[in-house]
Amino acid sequence: MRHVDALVVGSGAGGATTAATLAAAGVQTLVLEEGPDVGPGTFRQFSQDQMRAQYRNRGQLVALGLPPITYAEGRCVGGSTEINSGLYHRPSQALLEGWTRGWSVVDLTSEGMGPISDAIEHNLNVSTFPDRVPTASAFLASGAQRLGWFSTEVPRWFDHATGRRQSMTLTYLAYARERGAQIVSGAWVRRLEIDRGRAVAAEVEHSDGRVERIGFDVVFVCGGAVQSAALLLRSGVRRNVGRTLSMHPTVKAVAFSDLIGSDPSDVPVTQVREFAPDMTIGGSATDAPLLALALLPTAVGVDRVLDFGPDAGIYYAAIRSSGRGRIRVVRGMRDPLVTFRLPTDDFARLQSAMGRLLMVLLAAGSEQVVASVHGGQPISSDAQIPAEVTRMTRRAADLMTVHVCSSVPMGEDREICAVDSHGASHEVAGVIVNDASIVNGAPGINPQGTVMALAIRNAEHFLTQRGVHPAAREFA
Amino acid sequence: MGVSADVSRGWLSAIDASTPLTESVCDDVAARLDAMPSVLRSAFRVLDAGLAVLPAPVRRRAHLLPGVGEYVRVVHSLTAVSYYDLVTRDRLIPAPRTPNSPGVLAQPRA
Repeated sequence: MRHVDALVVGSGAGGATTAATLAAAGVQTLVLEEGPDVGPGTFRQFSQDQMRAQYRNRGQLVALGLPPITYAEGRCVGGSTEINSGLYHRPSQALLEGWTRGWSVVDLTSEGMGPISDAIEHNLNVSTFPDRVPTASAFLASGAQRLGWFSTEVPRWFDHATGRRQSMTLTYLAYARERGAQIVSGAWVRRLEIDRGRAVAAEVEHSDGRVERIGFDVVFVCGGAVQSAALLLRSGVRRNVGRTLSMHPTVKAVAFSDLIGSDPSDVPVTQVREFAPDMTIGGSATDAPLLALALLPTAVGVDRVLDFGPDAGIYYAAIRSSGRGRIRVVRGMRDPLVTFRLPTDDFARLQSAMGRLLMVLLAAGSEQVVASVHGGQPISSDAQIPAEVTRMTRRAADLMTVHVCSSVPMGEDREICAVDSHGASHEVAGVIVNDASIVNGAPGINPQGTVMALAIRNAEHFLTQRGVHPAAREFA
Repeated sequence: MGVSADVSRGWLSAIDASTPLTESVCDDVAARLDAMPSVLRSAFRVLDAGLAVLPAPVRRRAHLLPGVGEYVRVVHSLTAVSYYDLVTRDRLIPAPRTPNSPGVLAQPRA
């Protein structure tokens, strides 16, 4: 059995930053990624080809409930950072204070996290468009401006000089490799072996069918909110695991206007944050398959998807839900079962979010807008909005999300938390959870900036506890 | 997935998809169903097998049974996505707008 100092399970925002922090400090680090190693830029962003190659279950994940909520996860080297828009928010002071109060998280302040976020923003070239935002984003901003609502361009990890997204494969994973970390793709961790209260090895199934045991001193579990919780549950680590999944339930609408100018290669960057963090409105990628998906349940249907051209754009409204989801492992099934219960108050807020989404799209100059709900009718005036909002019942709603988190809550309160304030399991020694699982509750922002900052903080804490001095955070 | 292919074919015939395209889409929908998370995949296989043994007149009304309507809805979604992916595979849709191209408004289906 081979043995490593540190095993990192998962190579997304949490795993990549963890591996880079450990390897840079001289720790022997092995990263296991379940998905394939696909070079950045191989596929058009959000295309069906990319979903086939880089998304888990081809992007067809669902949290069961009424209504069911579809969601997406990356399953490739670099994880979801390879497939998402790359929008970046640093964790706010209010968010961190909320965790301190609600979950007894210690040693977590914006003063402490700020320098980590500074380094991340430097390393990923977090920036806004140098000139102007894409027209579909400007369209949304114009609607917000007419209503007097605050909107902003959200920065993202992008090198505008080269046109390349600064995802994990190009940044933290490359840096980790340079400093000696080994990254193995096509390696699924079935379970962790626990001996007398300590995790000691991983049972790994490779894509060629080989099964291998890998011993370690410490394992960092960084497979994302669903997969990390599922791995812990499969390994018998159950206390407070997988019971508090949080997300941002999201509704969609399609706007029609010759001002939109949709381009499938655009990344929508404008967000209406007048009602943030509880409600956010933004733009989605728009191409023919995605447009068909958005229009299929509506009265408009999909017959004329190819005729709309750049005059159709998909937009969304997301809320910060207080609902909780469950992750269960099912005997004989490789994938976990995910459920989510959307509280009545939250569904009412989603209806309100749909109303505001339709309102801002009409204010932007849409000739028509269609709520992506079953039977949704094209409307062209504010007076028609209430009928469309009323149409969105639990059975008629078509919800999705891209942000799942909080399945392994972090903090010192052992009654509600599964790991301590630095991600170490309360139940089993040698296990540190370091990804979106420990983002307590739905944050109301794109969470990956928070995930990366927490992961670096926790990895540095691990090093410091062992008398190892962390290396400089900024890439040379 | 015999019944899912029938559902896809029915949907595709309503939009006059060509025969070769129909077969490609049906194959792709079957692959997409196979790629579903384990629990859903198993449930859909059971539903599909159950529907396959029903007489055709009963099967046509089976969408009223619990779960079957959702299954049909999922197959329709996968079919629509697959169809529009295949027909736009070699070009970026939406295409660039030209100054003279007319705008198109959405209309509810009759």
